[in-house]
Amino acid sequence: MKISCIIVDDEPLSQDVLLKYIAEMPQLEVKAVLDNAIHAMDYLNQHEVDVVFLDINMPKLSGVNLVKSLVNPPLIVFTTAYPQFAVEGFELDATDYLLKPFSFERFLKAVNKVSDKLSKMENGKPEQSYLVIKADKKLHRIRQDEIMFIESAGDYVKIFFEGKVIVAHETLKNLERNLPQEQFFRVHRSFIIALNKIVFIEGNQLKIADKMIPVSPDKKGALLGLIQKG
Amino acid sequence: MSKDWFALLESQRRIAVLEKEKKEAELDILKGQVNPHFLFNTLNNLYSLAQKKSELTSDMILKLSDLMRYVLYETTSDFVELKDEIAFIENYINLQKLRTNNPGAVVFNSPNQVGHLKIAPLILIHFVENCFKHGLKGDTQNAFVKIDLKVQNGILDFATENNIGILDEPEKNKPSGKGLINAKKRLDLIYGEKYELDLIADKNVFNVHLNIDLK
Repeated sequence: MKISCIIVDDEPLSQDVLLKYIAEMPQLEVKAVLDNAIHAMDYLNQHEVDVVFLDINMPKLSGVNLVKSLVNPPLIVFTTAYPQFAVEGFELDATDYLLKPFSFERFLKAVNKVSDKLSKMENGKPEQSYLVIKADKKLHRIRQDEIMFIESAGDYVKIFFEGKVIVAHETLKNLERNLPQEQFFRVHRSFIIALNKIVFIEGNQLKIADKMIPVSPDKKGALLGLIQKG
Repeated sequence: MSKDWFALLESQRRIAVLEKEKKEAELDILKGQVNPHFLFNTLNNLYSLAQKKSELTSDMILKLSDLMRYVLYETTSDFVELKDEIAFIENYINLQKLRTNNPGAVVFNSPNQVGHLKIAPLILIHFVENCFKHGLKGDTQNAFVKIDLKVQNGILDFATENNIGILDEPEKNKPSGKGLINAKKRLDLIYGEKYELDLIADKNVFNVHLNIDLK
């Protein structure tokens, strides 16, 4: 996924350095170059971007005051020749602060911070959750969204996820309680399945990956309800 | 009695020495107000030119080093050659022009020959700096700076004109116009009655008119 950005700086030579650096990074895309903060404000009110490379010392409206005026600001990387503005910049929760002149390597670091923050924001919406389970003397941490289905086998369960299987000393009853109800469903005495992994349902069976899983007749109605809701 | 008289003379002499020292220290401080921001901005612009492999790079580095040498080593004396001060201003203006898309909006006129008239160093730069700070840096579309320097019968006639832009400075505690107040203090200390300064701010344009008798 490309990171969209705009450059806001009133000095042409400062714009040039950023343009040159950004051109060397295919994951970055420049949407606009603006030479003052008022234009930037107009632009940001009409367009959504991931990050603004923002000069501080500018006519009419400083970069700092631009950020303060935005209701829902994108990520901000301040660029300035003046270290004394850094404190105020960080108070505004800026992602980074580049002191001009800055090297390509330093710029890269800022871009990495930006993409870290962006991916955190993306995954952060529903917090990524894990199933923590003990098996063969290890504590496994399995991403819930990777689990396909879980099959009971006597005193053990087999957890199938992303082409792997873990066998753990655990009961389906416990797991059913610990996994989120919106994503998982006990379709059978011996099976818990991930609803969004179902390929099809046919009669009293359903298919996940290349495995056919039985569905108890008394669960089928509820299962169809959950599937159609999702 | 005669002992007291001697003590009084001695203390008067000491007061005079202290006052002179205070005045010199004050002058040094005022001189030292040349903006460090200018240096970093210029370095940033040189960096950009070098990145682009621009032919301007080496020329601009020379201008900056001439300017630095002048400020650091040649302004320690009380008076310098007017022609050196003019060359300094010229370098400063050329470096500032790198900061704009419209270098044609900056005009500096000065005579080719000024003889061997002398001037207090770094006095005019306050006004030049001010033009760029509030004019060129204060607007991106309608900015202009015009500076005229003439000499007639040993009298310096210096005039600047610039648009009044708005610079939104994050440093709120810094009083604006500090540079001009310092310049006026220095003029008072050095030239006393031998200068005239008019500052005229109209709605959109700021004018400075300065006459100094350099004879």
